[in-house]
Amino acid sequence: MPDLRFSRAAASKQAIRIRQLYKTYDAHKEKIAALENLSCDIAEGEFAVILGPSGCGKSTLVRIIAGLEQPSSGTILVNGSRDSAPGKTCSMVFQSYTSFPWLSVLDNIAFAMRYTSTKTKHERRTRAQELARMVGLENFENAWINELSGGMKQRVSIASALATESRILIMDEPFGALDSQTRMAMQEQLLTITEKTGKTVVFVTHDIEEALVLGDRIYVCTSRPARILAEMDVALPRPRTPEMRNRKIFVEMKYEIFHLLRDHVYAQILETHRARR
Amino acid sequence: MRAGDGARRRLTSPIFLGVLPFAAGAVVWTILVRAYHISPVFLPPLESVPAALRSMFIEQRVATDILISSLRVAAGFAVAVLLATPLGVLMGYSFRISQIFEPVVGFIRYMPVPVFIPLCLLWFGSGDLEKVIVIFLGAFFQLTLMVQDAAGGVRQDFYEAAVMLGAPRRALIFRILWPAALPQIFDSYRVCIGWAWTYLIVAEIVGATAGIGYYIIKAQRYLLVSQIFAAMAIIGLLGMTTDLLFGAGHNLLFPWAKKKRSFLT
Repeated sequence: MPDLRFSRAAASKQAIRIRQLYKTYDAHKEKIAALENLSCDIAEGEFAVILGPSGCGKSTLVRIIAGLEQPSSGTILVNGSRDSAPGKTCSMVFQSYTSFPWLSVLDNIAFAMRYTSTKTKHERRTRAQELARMVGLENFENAWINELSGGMKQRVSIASALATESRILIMDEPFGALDSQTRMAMQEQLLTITEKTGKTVVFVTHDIEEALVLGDRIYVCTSRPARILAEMDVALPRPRTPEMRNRKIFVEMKYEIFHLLRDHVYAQILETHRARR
Repeated sequence: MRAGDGARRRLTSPIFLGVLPFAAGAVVWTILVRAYHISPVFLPPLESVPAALRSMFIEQRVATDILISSLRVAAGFAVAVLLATPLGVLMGYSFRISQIFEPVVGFIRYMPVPVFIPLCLLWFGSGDLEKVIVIFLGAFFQLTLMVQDAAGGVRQDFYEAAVMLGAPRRALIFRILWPAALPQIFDSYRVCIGWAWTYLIVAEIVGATAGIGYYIIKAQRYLLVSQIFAAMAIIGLLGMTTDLLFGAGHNLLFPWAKKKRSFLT
């Protein structure tokens, strides 16, 4: 089934609609602007990648989408609704490993279902086992989180997030702390999962190749305060494979994006340095 | 396997290593007594301590005193745990609540326990109640701040993750804060019960009619120095046992947060 998601993304309605979003923080004496006049639309079923320099405000953007933070001004509609109570419409995978160490792998995966589903205890367990299998943790159901490697911890987080059955999955640099081989393997597995579940994914990264391997559409952000610098469709067919990194279009887009970002990366380095002093 | 391996393993076994300092202490003690002819009033020969211990258990029923002291510690410590845990958890959870209680707790915490004893003797007499209250006062304020520290140290992203998984705010204390902080809270108990023993002995030495501390002051009055040492050994053994139990309890209750091995486990 090639290209199924792609066409659906193009045809269907918006999952997330953002208009003139501003966010400023009070830091000591000065105000720091994280987002400035940011607008974009993310279609339902789309794998959207938010790409930008480190520290530019990408995380702030998805935290606002998730409902964990409130914008200073602007509108944001998630599934057509302004109600942004966290945990209602989106699920989230964080960069820091947030699975609960006091629960087993299976109990972690089943955690959300206590609140979001009407299933019986037995059904919840069966569903959790299904999800564990989906992320390749079927032999680690009873393991403690601290016994797992970073990649496995993130798989638990992904399965836990999938258990909420929410239509939108936000991933805030989920593979940022992994070594490059593990990261490639995790990207491959994430592709399999999202191509199967058809969820809308909002994926934050600063890794251009990661953005191209995973995304249907890439939203390139400026240095802080973040705006959308460019939106790009990734014209690679699905299912995606690691070998697509060798395609001409992949390599061309990679350097196109790099040239777009280069000045913003330098600007962000200076900005981060300034803010730390 | 080579021939020397067994011997080497025996020399590095935890029990051998743990006994080593005790043995060194015994050697120094014996040398002091034998070589310098120290009067038994100051330092009795080491071998007189087990003998004293035996007569204490058989003729003077020291077991009753041990029991009384242990119950006092248990009662005072239990009350402190029951009150300090919820207060500390709330202080760790809510900045407002911590703003109310932190100054007063910090104020009293720095008062050394002996300063409570004269008032407690005045108000509650020299019986069990006074001992329990002294232990409580000594343990409660320290423990509250330790529990607060544990509860306040729970990773913030755990709360965010739980909320994103659909947990309502009211579930966060019981589903996230409590299980996340419990191992460290349990460690606070372990540290605190050691202090509770100290407070008890102080209270018993100042004014009591039973208990190990009372026993020590009585032995001092009659210059039964080997009995003082024997009583000290009993206190040490009780403390070590308590600590081992807490250590084993930690590994049993929190298999996900296993500690480094202690010498029994």
